[in-house]
Amino acid sequence: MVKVRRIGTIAIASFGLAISAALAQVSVPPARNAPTSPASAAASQSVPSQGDVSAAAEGLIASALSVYTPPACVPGVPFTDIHCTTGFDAWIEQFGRDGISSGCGGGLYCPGTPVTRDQMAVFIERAMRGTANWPPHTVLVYHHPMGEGNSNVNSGNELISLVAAIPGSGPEAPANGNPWVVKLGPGTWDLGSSTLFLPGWVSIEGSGMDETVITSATSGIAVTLSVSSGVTTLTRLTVQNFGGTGTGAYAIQMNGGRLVVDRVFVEAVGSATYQLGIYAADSAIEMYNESGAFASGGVSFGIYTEGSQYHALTIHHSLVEGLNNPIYNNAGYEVDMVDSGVYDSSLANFGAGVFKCIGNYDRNMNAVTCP
Amino acid sequence: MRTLSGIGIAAVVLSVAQVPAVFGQAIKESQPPATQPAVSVVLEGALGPYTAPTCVPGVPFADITCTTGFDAWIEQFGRDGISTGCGGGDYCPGTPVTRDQMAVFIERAMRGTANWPAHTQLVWALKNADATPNPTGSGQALLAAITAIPTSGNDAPSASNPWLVKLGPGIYDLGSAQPNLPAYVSMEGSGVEVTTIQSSSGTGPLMTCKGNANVSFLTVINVGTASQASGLWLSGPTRLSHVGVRVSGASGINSALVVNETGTITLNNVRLEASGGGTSSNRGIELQAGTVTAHVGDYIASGGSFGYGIVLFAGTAQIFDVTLEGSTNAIDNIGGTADVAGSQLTSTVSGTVTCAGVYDGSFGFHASTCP
Repeated sequence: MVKVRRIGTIAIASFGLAISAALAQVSVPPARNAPTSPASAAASQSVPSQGDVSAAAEGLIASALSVYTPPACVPGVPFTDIHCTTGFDAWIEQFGRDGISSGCGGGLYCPGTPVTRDQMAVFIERAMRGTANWPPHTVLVYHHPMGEGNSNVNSGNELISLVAAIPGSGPEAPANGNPWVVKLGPGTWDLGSSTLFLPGWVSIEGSGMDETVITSATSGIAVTLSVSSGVTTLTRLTVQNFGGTGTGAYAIQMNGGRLVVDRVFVEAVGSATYQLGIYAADSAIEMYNESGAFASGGVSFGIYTEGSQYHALTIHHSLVEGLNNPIYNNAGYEVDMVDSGVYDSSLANFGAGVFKCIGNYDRNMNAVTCP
Repeated sequence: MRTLSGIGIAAVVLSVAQVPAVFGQAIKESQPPATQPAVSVVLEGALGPYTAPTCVPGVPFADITCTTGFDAWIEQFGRDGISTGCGGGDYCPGTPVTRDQMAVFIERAMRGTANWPAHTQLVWALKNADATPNPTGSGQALLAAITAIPTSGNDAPSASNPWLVKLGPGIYDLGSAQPNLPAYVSMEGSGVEVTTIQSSSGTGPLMTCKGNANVSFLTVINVGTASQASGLWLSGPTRLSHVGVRVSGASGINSALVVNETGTITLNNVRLEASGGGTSSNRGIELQAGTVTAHVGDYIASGGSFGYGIVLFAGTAQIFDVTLEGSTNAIDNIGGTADVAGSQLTSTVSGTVTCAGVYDGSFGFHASTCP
């Protein structure tokens, strides 16, 4: 152990405060002996510090510089050694709430303890890549570097686990009025044989239709992305299912809720009995802005509707393509389709469903009429 | 006397003589292995695509003398507002960072300062202590961020110095405040219905946009119960993209969008809804002056005594691929010029309106007449 002694009294005119940091004995443990938590390296510290001159200076100027101001400091929450006596303390509490640091053990933060490089690496990586609380209600997902083995599969597994970590209940859970966003960087997220289950009120924003791709290669009843409730918006990405060999292969499956796709390309290609770009059961779907739903192989439909409830399928300035039917309206939906491409076959309508179309065209730019 | 050991790479870059005596005492830094800092400097230079500007001795920190590979980064660290130094104009590069200092540094880097990210205000939705959403607090944070944008000086927004307010997912309740978004300041949310700005403002708009800027990826809701209420008031050239506006509470006139300026307003993928019990009229767009060019969207007015998708008191509206729906008229041209192409008008028009290739509520086609 190395002993550090702080001596001195510092007057801070702007705050009208005087911080006495006299004779604080701080024990600094060897950082590399940290057992499990990077912050726990300093767990044995027994005398928290009030900070030194430089700390006071930083705290003093912090408020003046920052656009963001943390909420008012509450003594002892979440760290018992944070007493709201310095300009740092509100920031430290926010630091804890954001999940960047969980303290130095025993409910303490140990504000006066020096930061070691190993601790610092974790803190900054958490700040960069996000925690459960930071950024708020936003899940940041970046592709693994190509040097990390099968980076697409690693990235896909990480996407699944990060989405699964979104709380399913409690005050933080996604809801109307409490939406979440998953932000994907450029790259391919290979889900392997797994399905990405997206909770309601969670949207996904990619980095571009060609730049962010979620793909899977599955067999049996295969689904790349499944949504069952709430409102979900997908923007600027591609969703693929390339592996269906069993009964069906769906790129997106909706079992309730409302799906809005904007600049999204959805495709199901394989040798399953049924290939469906989007399967919608009792769900509303809106497609905008050069979005596309494409299916090829076996019996293939760009969009397939099913269920007993009335819903609307709205398609503007997009493309639907399926070797059997670009849209197979099996559930009595109202389909409003404007200025969109209808490729490879004709639209199909059954039951009480109705199509309303204007300005739609086929691959040769010939006008397409509604069923 | 203060003695530390094993404090990491930063300590070695300054000799004992270079460390200022800011603690009112002599400070002695023990020397880590001589090879460590050199290796780190090389790695940092090789890894970072960003390169800090050339180091200037003594600016902004008197004790940064441009003698190590760290120094240019330290100066940028200061310019970015992450640290203002250790007092007395110094940075104290060899002094260990304490945990309280670090919390502030990292939180500033995460949440932004007046200089970081450059000309960008980051605003995140706040939570209550029990983790439930805090729309009111979030709204206050948004108002504070707008207020903090400088109005004069070299950093003030201008044609060559545009600013951006970036909003995370969540509800931002402005209460009865009616902020002005300054000219050359854009606002970008995290998605329609993902980022929502709401208010119960009195007479007038939820927010006035002074122009030369973009507003995108968000929803605006005004439920104010005054005699007149509007969502966005555009008083300068503005581009709206992927924006939803809903106004419903006024007893007299509800206008989702009011345009009153002499330049050009561009709307792309904008959904405007005016509803409620207005005793006068509800209006998707109220055009008082200027030119509106619109591509793709829905302008809907319902409820109240009269409803108009768009009302033109003056100015010019050129509308393409938009659904115009008014309980009274899709378009009411009182004193302007209205041209509509490739759009759906679910009700009749009033005044002179030029229509080309439009369709009615039943998708009946009208080649050169208005429904």
